[in-house]
Amino acid sequence: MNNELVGQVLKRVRTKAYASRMAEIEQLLGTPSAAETARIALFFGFTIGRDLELPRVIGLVMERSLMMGHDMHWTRPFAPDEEVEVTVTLREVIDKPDREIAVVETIFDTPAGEEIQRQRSTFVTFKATRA
Amino acid sequence: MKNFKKTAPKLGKEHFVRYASVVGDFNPIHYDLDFARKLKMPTVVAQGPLVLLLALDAIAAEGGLGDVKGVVARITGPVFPDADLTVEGHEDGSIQISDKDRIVLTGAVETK
Repeated sequence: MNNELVGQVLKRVRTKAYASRMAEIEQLLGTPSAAETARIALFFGFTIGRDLELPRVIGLVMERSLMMGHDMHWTRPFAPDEEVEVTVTLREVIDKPDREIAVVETIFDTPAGEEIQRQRSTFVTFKATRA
Repeated sequence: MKNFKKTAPKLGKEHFVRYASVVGDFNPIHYDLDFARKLKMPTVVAQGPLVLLLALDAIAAEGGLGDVKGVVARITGPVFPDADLTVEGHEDGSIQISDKDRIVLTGAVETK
């Protein structure tokens, strides 16, 4: 993986907490509590660009990578259709003999700078020599 | 958080694809069988955040998310389509999701 990017912002985008996406998650779950859940778990920060750009940028080889962990902390639920500033930062790369571990942090703020949510996603990439 | 044990909604391949579309997670391991097999998986696997979504929804169903400020989750095993998942929560804030006897997610809920 690309150690030189540790501490750097990988992506910064402005998007919306689309009510339509909340409804899609609500329908996907299909439970009485799904509407409340959808307002918290609306985004996956690592794929905020809706493409495979970030894995390529940090050198995460998809054929040899798995997600190990995902942490979320929030100050409040997203409001339907509110604007959100999203900042994705590579926080850590840990090199081990048989694998590399990457930690990516995503912060969701309002345009005024109020933090709504913070995610940390941890990925492992097994080195090519793995049997 | 009080103790609870709930059966999670069953997720099939179509749910993986729908979730991929919602959050933009187009890693082929979630929908491409050949790709999944390159990773020595027997079939496609659910997105980690989708599995965590099930845990959050179970917590929401049991008492709401109003007192919750975060969750820390570790993916301990793959979730395959149509798995029979059970979500457990405990008074100490720990959570886990199991596919029958196999634990696929462990974590902790942080309250305000």
